Amino acid sequence: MIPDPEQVGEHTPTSIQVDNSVPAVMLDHVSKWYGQVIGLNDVSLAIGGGVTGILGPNGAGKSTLFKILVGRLKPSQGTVRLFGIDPWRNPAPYSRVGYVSEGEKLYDWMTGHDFVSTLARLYGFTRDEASARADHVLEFVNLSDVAHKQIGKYSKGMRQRVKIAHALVNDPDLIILDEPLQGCDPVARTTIMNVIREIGGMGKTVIVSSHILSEIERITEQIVILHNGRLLALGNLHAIRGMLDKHPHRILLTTDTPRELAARTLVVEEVHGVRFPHPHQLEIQTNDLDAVHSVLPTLITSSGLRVSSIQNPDDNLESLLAYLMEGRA
Amino acid sequence: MTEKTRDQDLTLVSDQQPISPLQGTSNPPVSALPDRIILNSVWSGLDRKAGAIIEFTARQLRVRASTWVIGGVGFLLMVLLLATYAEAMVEGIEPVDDDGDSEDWDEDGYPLGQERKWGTSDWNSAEFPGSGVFVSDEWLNWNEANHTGNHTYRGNAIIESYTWIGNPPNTLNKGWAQVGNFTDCTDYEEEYDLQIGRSCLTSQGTIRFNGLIQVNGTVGVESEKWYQYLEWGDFVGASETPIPQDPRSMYIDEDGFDIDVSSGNTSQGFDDDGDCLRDWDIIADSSFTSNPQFFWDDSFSFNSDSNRNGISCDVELVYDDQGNLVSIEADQLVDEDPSEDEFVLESLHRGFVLAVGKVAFLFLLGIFIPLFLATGLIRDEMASGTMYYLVGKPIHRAEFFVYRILGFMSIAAPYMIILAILVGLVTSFIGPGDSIFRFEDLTVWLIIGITSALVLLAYSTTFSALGVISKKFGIYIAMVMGVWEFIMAFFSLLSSGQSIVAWLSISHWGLEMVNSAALIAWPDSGYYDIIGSGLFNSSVVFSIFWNEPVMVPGSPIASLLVSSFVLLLYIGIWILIGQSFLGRREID
Repeated sequence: MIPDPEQVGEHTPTSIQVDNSVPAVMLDHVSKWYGQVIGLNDVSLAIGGGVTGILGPNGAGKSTLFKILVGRLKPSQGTVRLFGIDPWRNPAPYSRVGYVSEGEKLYDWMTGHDFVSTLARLYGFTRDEASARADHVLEFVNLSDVAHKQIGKYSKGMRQRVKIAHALVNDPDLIILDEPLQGCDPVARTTIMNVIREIGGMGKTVIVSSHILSEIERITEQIVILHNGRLLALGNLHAIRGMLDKHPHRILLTTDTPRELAARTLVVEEVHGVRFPHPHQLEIQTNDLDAVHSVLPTLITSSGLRVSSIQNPDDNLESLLAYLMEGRA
Repeated sequence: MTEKTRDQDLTLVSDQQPISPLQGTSNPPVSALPDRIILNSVWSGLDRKAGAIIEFTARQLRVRASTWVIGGVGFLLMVLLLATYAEAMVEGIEPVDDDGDSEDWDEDGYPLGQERKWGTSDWNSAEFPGSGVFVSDEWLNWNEANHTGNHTYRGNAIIESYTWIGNPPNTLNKGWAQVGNFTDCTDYEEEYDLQIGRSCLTSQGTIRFNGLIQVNGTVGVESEKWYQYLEWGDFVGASETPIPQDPRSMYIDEDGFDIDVSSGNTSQGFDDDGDCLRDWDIIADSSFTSNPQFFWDDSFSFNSDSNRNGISCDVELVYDDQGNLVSIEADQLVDEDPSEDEFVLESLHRGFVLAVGKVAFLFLLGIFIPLFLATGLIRDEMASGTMYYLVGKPIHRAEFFVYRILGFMSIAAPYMIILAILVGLVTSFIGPGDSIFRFEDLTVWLIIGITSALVLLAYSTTFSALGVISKKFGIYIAMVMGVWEFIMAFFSLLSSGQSIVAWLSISHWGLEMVNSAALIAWPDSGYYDIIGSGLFNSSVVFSIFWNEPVMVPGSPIASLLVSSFVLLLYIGIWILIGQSFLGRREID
């Protein structure tokens, strides 16, 4: 669990006067351009509690959006408010924000505990408070065992988790995670996704970006989709998934016996047709992806045929974007 | 406009959408911060945040190889300088013949100082102590052909008639023309000239000679022989027995300084070796012929009151209206050859202290440490992408800039101050003087340490701000500025701090502080400076490295305070510049 400030020290942001009328994040017609290049184009958005996924391909403007939110960049146009305050002018909201950037650079000469506790002191915690908080958040991200090892010796997943730990150390109300799963192995991904879900479950506002639809899907239902710097859509991912599912989908199976397998799959009612794009591949066409996936394992097992991989070529962000762009048009 | 499409849970966004709360959000909006809470949330816990950043920066510097390399080079530099200094102090200073009277220019075995005592020339090997010397009374006028009388003559002339020709008083002086057994002049000698010491009979029956001769008769010159001349006078100082040659060492360090600047007397000094105090009027007194006394060879023009203060053979101390010693004017040959151990060693010690303080601490370490370690304090964090860890916190960037500099200073300043105190302890123990430890030097070293720290702060603030101003070119601008500071430092040193251009540099104010410190610790610095640069050529080290503080003449403490204030003002301005640029800098 993220430590309770009252349990580990005296520091509490009691001086902050509470106003329940504003969302954690609010952008009003925000644009950002780098010379002739547009990074963010007229984005208006308000984000409240829970986990929100920011989806978009590389270059969509996710990192630019985050950098503007945390005051690293100044918006070229528009208004940004974190807890009702302009973060570019006033760093006060950072006392309630935790941010993990997409960059991998860390202070490799520090230990994980050093890193987290030192940065915790920048919130005004005493040395003891910071140390206790560091212990708690490192435990929370499953890094207690290596907390006193140098970060330079950490694996990629550990590095990502120590960054998340540092973002949680002030018990923030808003946590911004820029591509936190990038480059992590499957085990690390699962751990990090669990951590994010758990934080979201605590009622914190978590904003997490990714360019991989399935990753976001495993973390949250709330999504914002950015494309070419513009806000393309926002809402519930299940709704999008449902819409996608009603469109023709493809399932690509890699096998040495595509034709035998095709003969067996065609008996499934939801399968509309098959193709052989490659001598060792079978492409199944369907409008109900979930139904086909539910019978496919049994079908393969009972047939005794060998299948080396199952892929959903349409179940990715590009397909989703194509679909949304089509709907928008 | 916002368009609801296909499913009520999904919102497609059109070009001009209003702010859209995310659909499906079950949690209520979080509490907002009031607009102006910066004092409460950002600047609160200042000591904690400052301590954290300072400590972090110090640790970051400690793990960098470049920090250790630069620190090690600085330490090594000090060790080498101290080794040189210790060698000079232990071995002492080789005595130097400041007035040059231990030389024997005519190589007759008698040093110049001894020849001076005897009035003989050190440019003529025929003249030396005991050989006697001709003292001229009168010259043959241009319109006179001859002179009659009983004299010692010197010249290149002819004896027309005589009743007596004497023998020289001794044979030591090789300048006598031979007498008796005159031989006939050769054709060449008849037509042209004779060698010195030669005499001969001419075809007219006269005697030609070149040199000294004692004659009672008529001696003259031939009108057509332009090279001929004649003078007559007395031959004095001749000794019957050879005079022993003095060792040359007798004429080294034989006239020390007899000046006490604290007495306030304007006329001081004493001619220890007596070469000025001699009564030069007696030279021409022939009564000394039999009792040779001090006199001078006629090649030397001497004035025993060359400083024109009406007092012979003294040293005049000239003060300005404020009571500052502005110059020391010594008569010729007074206090002109003091002992090196007494003056030069002290001057060398002080010169070393100032040279190390100014060049090693202020110029070298003061510029290079910040150049290599402080320029990247902010810039490197921005370049490496780790900056957001530090500024993405409830800390104003302005205070972050200051804490970062303080973090650097927490490593660099103690290094400089400890190094200064270590060097100060060593030099105070082995420096010249009667006491075991030169406590007065500690003032200078302490101020050198503090000045170095201030200069470090000024450079680190400047370089760090330059790194913020231009991520790409900051280091180059800092290097150019370092070169400028280096040039200005030497410019200020050589112009005695009078150059207004040098006032635009940090180094000038650092130098001014050290000059002030030296004057506070060594009130007679002005004396050493003037002596070193004017009277006493072998002790120029101190004069090169010390200049009278120029900000508040006569008050080193006021100069020190003014210089410190200017440096602090400079630091303040650059902190504001750095803070301003960092506040507006986007951290990509």
